[in-house]
Amino acid sequence: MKYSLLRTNEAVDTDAAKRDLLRDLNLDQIIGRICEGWDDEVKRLYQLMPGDSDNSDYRRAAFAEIKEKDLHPVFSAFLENMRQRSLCIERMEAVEVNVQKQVWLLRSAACYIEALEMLLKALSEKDLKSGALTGLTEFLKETTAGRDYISFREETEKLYQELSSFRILLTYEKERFTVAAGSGSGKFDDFLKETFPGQEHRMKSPFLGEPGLSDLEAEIIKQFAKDHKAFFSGIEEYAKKYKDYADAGILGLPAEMSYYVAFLRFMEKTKELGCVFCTPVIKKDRFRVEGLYDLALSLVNSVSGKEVIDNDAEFYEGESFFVLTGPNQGGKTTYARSLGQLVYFTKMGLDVPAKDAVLPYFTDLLTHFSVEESTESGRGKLLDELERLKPMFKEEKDGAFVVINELFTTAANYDACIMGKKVLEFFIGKHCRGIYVTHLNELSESCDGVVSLRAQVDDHMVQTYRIRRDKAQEKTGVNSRVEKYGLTYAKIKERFK
Amino acid sequence: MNVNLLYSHKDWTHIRQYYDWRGIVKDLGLEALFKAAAIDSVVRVNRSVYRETEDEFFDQCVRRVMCVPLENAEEVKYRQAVLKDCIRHEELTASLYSVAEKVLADIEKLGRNKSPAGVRDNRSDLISDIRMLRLLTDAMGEIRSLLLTRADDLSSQGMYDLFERVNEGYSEEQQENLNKVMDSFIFYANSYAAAAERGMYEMNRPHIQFDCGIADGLKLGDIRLEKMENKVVSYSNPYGLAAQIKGRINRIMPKYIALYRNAALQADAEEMEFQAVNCVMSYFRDTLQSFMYFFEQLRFQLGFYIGAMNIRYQMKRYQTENCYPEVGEQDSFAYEDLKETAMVFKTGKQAVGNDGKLDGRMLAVITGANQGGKSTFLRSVGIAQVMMQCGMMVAAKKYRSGLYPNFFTHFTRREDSAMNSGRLDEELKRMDKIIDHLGKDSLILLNESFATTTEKEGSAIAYDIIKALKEEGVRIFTVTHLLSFAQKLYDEVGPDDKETGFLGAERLSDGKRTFKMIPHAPEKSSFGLELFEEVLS
Repeated sequence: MKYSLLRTNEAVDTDAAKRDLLRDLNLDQIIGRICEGWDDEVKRLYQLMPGDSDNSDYRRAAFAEIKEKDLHPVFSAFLENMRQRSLCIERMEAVEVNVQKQVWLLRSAACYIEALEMLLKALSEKDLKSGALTGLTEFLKETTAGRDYISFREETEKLYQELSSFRILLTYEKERFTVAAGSGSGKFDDFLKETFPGQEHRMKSPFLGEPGLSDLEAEIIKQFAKDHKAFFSGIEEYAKKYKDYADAGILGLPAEMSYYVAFLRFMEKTKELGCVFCTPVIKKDRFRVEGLYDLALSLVNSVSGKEVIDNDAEFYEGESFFVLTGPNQGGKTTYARSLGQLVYFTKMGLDVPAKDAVLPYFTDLLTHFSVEESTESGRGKLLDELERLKPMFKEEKDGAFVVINELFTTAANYDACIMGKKVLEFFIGKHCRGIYVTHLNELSESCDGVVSLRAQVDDHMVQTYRIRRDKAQEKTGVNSRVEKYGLTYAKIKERFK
Repeated sequence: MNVNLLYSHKDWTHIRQYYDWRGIVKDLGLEALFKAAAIDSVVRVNRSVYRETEDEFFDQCVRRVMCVPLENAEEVKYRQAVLKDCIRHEELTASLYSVAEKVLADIEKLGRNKSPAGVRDNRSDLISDIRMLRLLTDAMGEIRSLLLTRADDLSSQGMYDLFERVNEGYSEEQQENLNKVMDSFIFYANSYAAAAERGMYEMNRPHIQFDCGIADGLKLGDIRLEKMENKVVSYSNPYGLAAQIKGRINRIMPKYIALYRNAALQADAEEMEFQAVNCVMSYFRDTLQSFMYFFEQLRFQLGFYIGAMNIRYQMKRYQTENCYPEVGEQDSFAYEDLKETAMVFKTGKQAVGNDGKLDGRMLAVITGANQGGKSTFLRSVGIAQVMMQCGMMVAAKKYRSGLYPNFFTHFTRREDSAMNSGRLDEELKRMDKIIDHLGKDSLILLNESFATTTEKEGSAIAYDIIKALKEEGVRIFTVTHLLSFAQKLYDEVGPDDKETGFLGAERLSDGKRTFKMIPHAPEKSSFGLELFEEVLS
């Protein structure tokens, strides 16, 4: 097996993009923000959930070490060098003139060597522990130790240095250019800098936009090559020899590394907006989370300056499923989503949006959200819901985390209770844990292992977005809109204080 | 570079204008004032000729400056001093203004947008940038030498600081340095130096040396400028025989790349030349921007003072006394021969001046007959206040008052007043919004407010609102027909109250009205009743 920063074995990943999972949990919005400015390749990595616990642990250990040993700048430098290399290759492919192709190849090789050596040097200086990073160091050592690589490096450096040191002095006099050897000085530039203290401007090279040589450049190079025959024949040979210098494993690194770097940068940015992250602790049969919040909502609200309420979640012994009831707009779906996000990021081996989290390994993450906007008739919608439930029932793995939001809303109350109970019993029987958001208060006491949660309201019946262990109960609330606009007697009095 | 003629520490920015400025303009009739500002009298330049020209720009300057109130006595004094200086050195003021006006007009003629950015991506933009730079630096030199001739005679801090800033920010030495750089690329904007003898040309020609690397795929990169010069070359027709021979020689000489008769190479060469000159011009980006800004500000700020001078001329023309108002204690208010300028300008008729002293009396209640001069008086106070608060002279022999950046007018617009709740609604809504914006240093002029409902109801509303505002320390002038409201106040505090003044229209013993406002208890009888008696008795 070739080296990978993301996986330690060949267990098959779960492709979340094939399910509604990402949309249901608003993970697509979060991933969109994480991958802003990154390649689609990186985005794709966020859609693949590790299929077994070893791969999750492997990533978590790597991510922790990247943070702890401050490898972010090292990785960024590597990525930048590799990006430069790709640009050189792009240019190489874009030009027609052979000697130009050879020069771009040489330059890409210089970037490649720089990237490798810098990364290896930085990693060797650190005392690394995690499997992923020690593996990376080993892999780099191996790649750079070969005799082929060493001679490749030497030849590249020699030629590249020569190329970089070439200077041409062009004298322009309206009807002609004169070509001579330059020295790299810029006396007029210096004069300008002196006359305008604090300013420095460089002349833009007019032809860099086009990869090919302009007529003028071609003429200049023709003149120039007459005096540098050795270099031009040397590079021709070099290009033949090292056409495919890059190691396939190394070329795979940038995307995987970006997976971590993108998340680190995302965390930095969102922390400034007040978001909190923690590294989850994996313990069998324990589930206790503090300060859990919906990251997607938090990203949206940070724009408008609205606060996001965080909540806790805990399963005691013998408990396995939350049934969450409460008033509309009380934060039920948000809470369910935040639990789903918690499990997702844990599986991905990254930090989670919470203050503190201890949870077991879940084999899978399943979601079922009702599609409220469906224009279908009641029966059609029920059918649709049941059909979407079917694959979840067929899932062979035990021990998944399940997020269910408002099932069977179109069925009669009595039927819905029975069906809901069956669903709960099924998943509990499969040793799953999860949350079931519902309007059916009866479900909160339907079977063993169920914990009743309730979205809370304050004395004025205003939603607090707090989720607490509480019995499901029927309360007839004041019209919340009147509250919202401050039009009740008490509130009007308050305004005039 | 800052101009700072309006404020000691900053240039003009449109911030914190009066709340509902449009309402104020309408209620006080300020349009007549702006119109007067636009009438530029040539008489001051040549005293033997009196000629008036209209320049709408002065109207705009005064209009815009006036809507942002000054906030303390120092700011007012600063402007008053500059205004005095401008009046004393009329010719200098006019010359400075015309330099600014001319350079901006010339730049406009270049046909490009006003905000210069150093990096240009097209040849004609670059050429117009170069021309613009020349215009601006020349004009700046002119400004400096104009100020220099009067430097010892400038009495205001504003004018003197302007001189110093120009003298330091653009010294002769700097001008020389900039000229030196500009001379290096004359060839770009002007190819012909001068016409020489027949058949020969004096040409400005570039002589540029580039030092480049080729590490970017053999393309010219990392270009440094080694040399840039303008060479004046006189030679024959560039398409003539001599040039052709020269071109042919160039082509066979090794290491020469002859551009002669090769359009593609010429285009590339032009691109190199363009980027080189563009690079040099980007050093002037700040200069261009700051000079452009300077002249826009200079024209605008001087435009305000010239507008103020024009208004002063119009006042003189209608024999209206004017003075520099005095910023007094916040509760002070005294005036002598205070006139309503806007009406004078509008009708061309002389106005009645009012004298009075309301020191400490934050509430003034003005009652009396129709057509007695109440509203005129109220407007004269408002106009004087906004003029004072922008540093202008006011139409009075003496005027002393505090400063009220929070200034509001609440006038009933008679033309569309009607007895319906919709109108009252509108008035109350306006009042509600005004109260939202009231704060420290507030002045409100109420003209027949709440008259759109019954006397009883209106009085009750007015009483509540005015009592509350007075308690909150707001200075109030109210003209009212609501007699029960005025009477109730009067009964409560009596004629000698230290905080409330009651004014009314003066009537002589023979019953003749003088249109002057004097201390006066609220009048029970109205003009209508008088008229009734006059006709029927």
